Amino acid sequence: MIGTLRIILRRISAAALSIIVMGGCLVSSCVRGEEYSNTPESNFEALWKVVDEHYCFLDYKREAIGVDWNSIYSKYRVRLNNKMTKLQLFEVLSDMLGELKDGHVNLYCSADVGRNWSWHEDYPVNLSTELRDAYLGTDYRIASGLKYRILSDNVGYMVYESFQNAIGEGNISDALYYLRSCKGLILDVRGNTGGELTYADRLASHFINQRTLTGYFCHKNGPGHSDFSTPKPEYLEPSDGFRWQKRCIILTNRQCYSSTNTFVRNLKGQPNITIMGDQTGGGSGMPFNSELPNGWVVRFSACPMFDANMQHIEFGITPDIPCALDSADLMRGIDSIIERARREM
Amino acid sequence: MRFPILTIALTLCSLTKGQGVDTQYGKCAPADRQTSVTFGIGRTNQYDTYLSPLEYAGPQITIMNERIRPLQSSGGRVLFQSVLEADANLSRTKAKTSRYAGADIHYDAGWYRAWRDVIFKNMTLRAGAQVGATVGGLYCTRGGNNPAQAHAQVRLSLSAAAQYSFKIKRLPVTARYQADAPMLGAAFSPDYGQSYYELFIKSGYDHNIVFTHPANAPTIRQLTTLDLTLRHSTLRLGYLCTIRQGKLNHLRQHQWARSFMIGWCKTL
Repeated sequence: MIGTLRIILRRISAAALSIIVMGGCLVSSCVRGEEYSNTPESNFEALWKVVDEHYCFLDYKREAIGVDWNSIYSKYRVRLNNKMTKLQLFEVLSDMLGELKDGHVNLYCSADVGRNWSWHEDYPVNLSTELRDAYLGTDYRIASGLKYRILSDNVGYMVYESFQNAIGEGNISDALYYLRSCKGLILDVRGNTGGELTYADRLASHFINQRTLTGYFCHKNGPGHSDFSTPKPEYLEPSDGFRWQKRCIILTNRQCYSSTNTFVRNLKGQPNITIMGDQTGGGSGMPFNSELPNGWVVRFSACPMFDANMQHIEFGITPDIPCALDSADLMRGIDSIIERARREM
Repeated sequence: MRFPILTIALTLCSLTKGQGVDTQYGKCAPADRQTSVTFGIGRTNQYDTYLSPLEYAGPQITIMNERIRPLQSSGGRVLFQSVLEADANLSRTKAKTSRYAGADIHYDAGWYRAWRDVIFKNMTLRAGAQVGATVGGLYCTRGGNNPAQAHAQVRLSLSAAAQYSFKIKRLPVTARYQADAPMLGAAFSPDYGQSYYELFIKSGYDHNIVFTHPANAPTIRQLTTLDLTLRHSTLRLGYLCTIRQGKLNHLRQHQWARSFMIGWCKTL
């Protein structure tokens, strides 16, 4: 009887102890976020912390352009007060993000988009879309996102306005096959501010004949400014479709951003490829989204990409042949960059 | 119809012919040889720093299938239990500007040593281990290059239960409390700032399978049920409380959910 009672008590004790230990562990290791209220200070703190812990160029931009994120906190924190309107807060937060000089950094509210587009606004456009349309004429062909035709001097001319416009292997192969008898190809990506990296890689794969190291990529592996994974090489495989073997001149301007910047990176230095025009706009950080307690969305660069020499391309890629749109030519209906490319063929 | 789930459960319950055994408390489904289906409605609170620094909250629906039976070879002392749980939820932040849509399926198979008539007559204690797996995901309508989080996990859990049969007037009732807590496991997680584009398009594996234990993934599922034997059928009422948490690759996440469950039991 006493033995049975002892066994029962032991089991009860073990069960109770287990529950206490389990409950204690759970209470002490409760995983939850910071409590943010919807005040100007709280939204400011949340935004500053998102960038501090997730933005991937803080170290690089401190060296390159003197961005000190801790100093920026002090600089903008004093502009807050509890009586400020939503739009005043939006202005302060947008100005703070603007210090990063990054086209992939935006603040979205229902009334506006906070941005710093100095990457192209501070430079000549070097593109007239009306003039480009005149070169295309009215009888150009359209292969999904690609517009193309043969110019009068037997030079192929292809325009890709946005990597957000889908293109498939068949579109690219068919377009290049149509242009196969041309003496060369002008691929105009001016004004293309990016889109899908997949389309950028797909188009580039029609201009190489062997597996090619195009660059490196990594990601943040912790909240510290210097916490990055080991960079991994990026290889581009040649397409199984029609591959261009003649001279190709790629026209660029400062509006070539993000995926377009990556496209230019992929092909720069390849045989038969020449980059002509202005420096690209950059944008080598793959953007992530986050949000603030008041519901505003913040976009920021999260995963940096490098060129094949492990150099940053966040501020753009220089052309092989610098070339600008001449205003006198522009008045006469001549695109001096396209004309220069035609002469180079 | 204000209580559709209750109505459905009672209807199904009435269609389910009981195959219970006679006990001193009347004809009731034995609690260690039965299958049950329960539906639940409740609330969830979700947090995943890969997607957002904010907590989301909203409704959750759950369906759970439990099967329990004694292993023949053990002379009834060892029980086998399988639990299949499927959850779906929609949640929002306080600002209500974006939404999470989530769904997960959890399966656990457990083996228990049972001690009958412990402390009180008709009280059974069970303790044992479970092996389990989870697949699912969470999608954020805000978009971007980090729009979703995948859930995949295998685990070894400790599990314990206490159940007690009694009568309220002439109504046979079985009350049960069960807690399952993973002790060892492996879970999928993207690295801190790793994109799914890198993971799946560039095949960039980087610490994406993480060893889990109570220190980095303190998790517990608690289920309290009350089985009411109504003539030839057994109605089950329950309260499910799950606390699933993780601190993996510097990412923090939790899913806290509580649901009221209703369903029926059938003797195997």
